[in-house]
Amino acid sequence: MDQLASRSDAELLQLALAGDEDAFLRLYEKLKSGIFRYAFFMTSSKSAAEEVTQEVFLSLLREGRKYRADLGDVGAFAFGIARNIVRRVERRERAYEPLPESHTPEQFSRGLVCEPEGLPGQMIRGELVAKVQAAIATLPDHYRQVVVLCDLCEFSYGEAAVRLRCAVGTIRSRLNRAHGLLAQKLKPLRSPRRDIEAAGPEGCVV
Amino acid sequence: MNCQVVRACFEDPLRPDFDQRAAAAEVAEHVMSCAECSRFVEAQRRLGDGLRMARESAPAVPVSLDAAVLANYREHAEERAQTVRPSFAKRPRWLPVLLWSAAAVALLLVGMIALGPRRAAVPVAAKPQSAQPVANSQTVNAMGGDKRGTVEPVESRAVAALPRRSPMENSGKPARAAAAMPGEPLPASFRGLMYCDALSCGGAMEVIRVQLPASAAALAPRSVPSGEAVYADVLVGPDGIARGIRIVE
Repeated sequence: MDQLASRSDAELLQLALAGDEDAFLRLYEKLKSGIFRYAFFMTSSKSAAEEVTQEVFLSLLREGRKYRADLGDVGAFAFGIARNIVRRVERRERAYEPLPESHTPEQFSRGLVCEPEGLPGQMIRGELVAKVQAAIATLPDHYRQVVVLCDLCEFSYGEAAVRLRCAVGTIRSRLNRAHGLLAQKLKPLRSPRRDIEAAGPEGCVV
Repeated sequence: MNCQVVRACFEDPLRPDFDQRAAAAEVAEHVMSCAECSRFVEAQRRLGDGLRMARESAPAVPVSLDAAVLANYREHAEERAQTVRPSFAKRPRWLPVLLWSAAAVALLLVGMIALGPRRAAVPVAAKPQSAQPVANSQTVNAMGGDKRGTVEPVESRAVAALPRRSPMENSGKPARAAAAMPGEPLPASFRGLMYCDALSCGGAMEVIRVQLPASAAALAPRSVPSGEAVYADVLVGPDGIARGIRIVE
């Protein structure tokens, strides 16, 4: 495993395709978090994110020989696969209106058990997150991709540009316009911090 | 400091020509005095809080996913190991090239046979009958005018159904082909149907009598109605092509 630390992603992919399980695990550890988070924020569903991540690595094994280093790094290649699979999942799930996962009974009961900032704060925070996610979901796709990559997955402008195959300036301008649209959509919201403070420790829950 | 600068600070804080720390005091001072910028900054702060909370709401990658991906990898590796064929069983790389080349050559040959130069079509009326055993056929040496036999009337199938007019020579006497003049390719009484000289029309020719509609034979006498048939002697070369024609009066 130590020998693999110095290997590039492209070399790890080649080794993994040749049957080196350690190399595959190394590559998986490097890429899984970004792909999972991207899939989660794009689909707003944990189960869909798991499905997408699994599909991405399966596709890497099947189609990995098509990878060309001159077109970008392995992360960008895997991200391209993830983007296609996310689109496929979105098309499939478009007919259904999923229940926000933050509102599931499981999430609710978890909030009751551990509440670092109190139950009202948890609920308001959950509501705000759901609204932000809903607002992001209504953005045009090219804005949504940038917001998810830069704001939610914490990619740098350069990394986002490589993954979306566009210029850094394009990323900046799209992000700026996306922020403007999001600010308009979130305008009716009250400040969450003020709400949390106003609710206090004895705020009415039900 | 003005409103545009404040907005630019928030819209692109990472731009290289902007020192966020240095401008912070001026921005704060302007925001305190400008209601519009104060609302804008508040909206940006709300958005930033929302995005941060959304970012933090992302679940960690579940352990079950790690196990599933690893299982997929092992299954894939196993399948791949099973599907790898031994090298001798592989199809040689030159085989498809050879097959395609053979197909192309075959196609070329078929095309050449189908579209290649054909023998010139023999006029129906002058169809040579030499392939049939004609006992009394007359053979004429075009160059020497040598008679070798007599000519029996041979009816063309195409015009056999036409109303016929009995020729005068057809009363039991065989017609005779006229001898060619020395140095002339065709006998004098025949009219040439093609360019014919000593080089191109060498060899023995046959005289075949055929029946033609009067309208088809340009040399037919005017006394013959155009709807009726006339007899003609046709000189046919060894290649089966008619060289000359003569209307039998």
